[in-house]
Amino acid sequence: MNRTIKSCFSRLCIKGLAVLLLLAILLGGCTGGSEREESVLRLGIAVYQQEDTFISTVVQHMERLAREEELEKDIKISLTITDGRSNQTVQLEQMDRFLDQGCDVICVNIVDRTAAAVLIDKAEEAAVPLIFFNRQPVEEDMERWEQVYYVGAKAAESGRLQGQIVRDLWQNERGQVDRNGNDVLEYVMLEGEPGHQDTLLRTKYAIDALTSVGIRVRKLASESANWNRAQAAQKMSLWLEEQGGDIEAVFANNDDMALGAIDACLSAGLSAESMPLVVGVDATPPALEAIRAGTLKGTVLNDSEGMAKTMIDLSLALSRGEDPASAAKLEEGHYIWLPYRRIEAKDLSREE
Amino acid sequence: MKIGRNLIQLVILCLLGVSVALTLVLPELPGIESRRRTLEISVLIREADTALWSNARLGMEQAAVDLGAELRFLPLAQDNDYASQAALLQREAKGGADAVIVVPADPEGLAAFLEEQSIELPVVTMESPMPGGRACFTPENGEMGRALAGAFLEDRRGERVLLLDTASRSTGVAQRLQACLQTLREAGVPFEVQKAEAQSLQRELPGLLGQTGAGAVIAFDYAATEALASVAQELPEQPLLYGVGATGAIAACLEKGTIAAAAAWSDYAAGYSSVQEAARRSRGERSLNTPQLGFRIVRGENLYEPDNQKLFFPVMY
Repeated sequence: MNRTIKSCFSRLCIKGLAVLLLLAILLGGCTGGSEREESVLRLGIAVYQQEDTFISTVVQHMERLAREEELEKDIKISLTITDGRSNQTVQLEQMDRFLDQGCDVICVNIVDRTAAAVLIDKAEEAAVPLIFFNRQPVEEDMERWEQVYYVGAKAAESGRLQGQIVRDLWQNERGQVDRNGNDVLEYVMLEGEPGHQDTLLRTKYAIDALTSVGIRVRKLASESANWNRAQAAQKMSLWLEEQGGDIEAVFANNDDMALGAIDACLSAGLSAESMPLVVGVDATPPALEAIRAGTLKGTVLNDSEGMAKTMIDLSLALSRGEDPASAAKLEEGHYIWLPYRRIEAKDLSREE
Repeated sequence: MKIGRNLIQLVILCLLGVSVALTLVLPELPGIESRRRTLEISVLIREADTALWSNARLGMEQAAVDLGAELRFLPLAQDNDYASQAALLQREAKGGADAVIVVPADPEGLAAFLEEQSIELPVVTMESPMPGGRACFTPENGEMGRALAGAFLEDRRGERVLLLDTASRSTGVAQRLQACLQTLREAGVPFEVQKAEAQSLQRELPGLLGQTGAGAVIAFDYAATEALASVAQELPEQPLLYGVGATGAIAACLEKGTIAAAAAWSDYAAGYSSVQEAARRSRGERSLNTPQLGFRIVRGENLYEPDNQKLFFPVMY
């Protein structure tokens, strides 16, 4: 009996010691291995098209702000930026790569705003928070998971402000704007991607800002130039041939297209004084140069720096498991709205 | 029998414990550690706008995926701010970077700084070689300068040439400018060299043209060429414009004819090779004998020839 008890006891001791030893090694290994990883924030940023001037500006701001945060907070922030080149399939693959690389937060400027569900599901499965920016996914998709956010500005507001620039010019400089003196503003519209929410809202509200105060307008032409400067220049060249001096105003849903319209006017031999009034949206650096040159009459600031700062702050908070509302003003649990602002020649010193 | 079984169980447990310990210790051994761990490679360009290097970046990122590296792209707040670039490099070295790829704002200054600070980190450069024999991935800069001059000589109508000095401390860019200048001098072409900042070129170029009476402009780096591309259409009398690089904006201008010719090379290959070299050096491996990058003079009429198209659009979807 004593022998049995002794042998059981010694067996138990040996096994218990061995298990304890294993546990100690495993725990020690786990702690040591994760130390380095915690001090680095890995941000994946997938843009729809890096050639888009506004998007390129946002990315530049993010890179700069990341460096500033590194210095201030003594942390490391690694940004991986990919260009979807307007191809949603490519962007999906880029998202997969971010997840494989172990990104802590992923920021997506989605190519196809109706295709967000797949991205959200992948992010949820990997428990990686997802921040959409500038191109707003559909509302139902945003509700799929609590750790999905959108940083952007309300497109209707940008259209309204753009329309107000033209309204004020019409009211204060009628002689220069209403070239044929018929008391009707004859305009052309350069639109962004067909079906894009920003395209629809900017187009509608820019004109509403005029008609709502009784200004009579006539649309001479309206076509999509896909946010692209070269495409806009082509459209505008054609319209100048067809409509000539009848065009009194050019509304462009973004600055790249506004600059394309200006390119076409300059190629046609028009000067800053003789070309129709052109207005854009975004307030990109080349657009501000064009305002200085007098070729672009106004634009609407889409706060690229504010957008970049919000995404960095939100990413830092999310990676640390903090309440995202502590980093940014959240609406409906998912949305961070940034205000737009009119920019004309008189505002330029503030932007420098 | 029972003692024997206990012993066997104990031995198995101990073996398990030892193998766990080995899996923890082995990666920390020198040589083996760097092979298994993801390498951290920092990329320091000399401009604020990383989009100028987007094709190179594509190549770098592909190499990073292939070779197990993680890249950190670090643009400067101001173009050609040598002091900031040096400080950034020092910070990256202290922060544990395994290697650095630099487009140096001042290669000689940077080499002296590395030596002074005793920074022992594999450094690979693009655009300008650095003293000390470190690897550099760029076409032969002198040849490029001569080729640009040659492109102008084919088109000239007797005008004066404005040569833009937008990065004088960058030896690679300076070599291009000097070689071009020498070729023009030998051909008896009147020219003038003007210092300018690429960021303000859009505003200043009309004034510079008026001041110099130049009918042609040659730029020697990406930022200046992109600035030419953006201002080309607004110039009242279309001067002949020449530059370097294979960005989308430059391709668009070549197509329209607003830029007469550009020296283009595979940025993608340069990016890939630089990460490959940086990874090899940080793992203590021998450098590969990568042949010197070639370049081509591209005009609107030959932009879409297959070999030229690959330079401007390395990745097609």
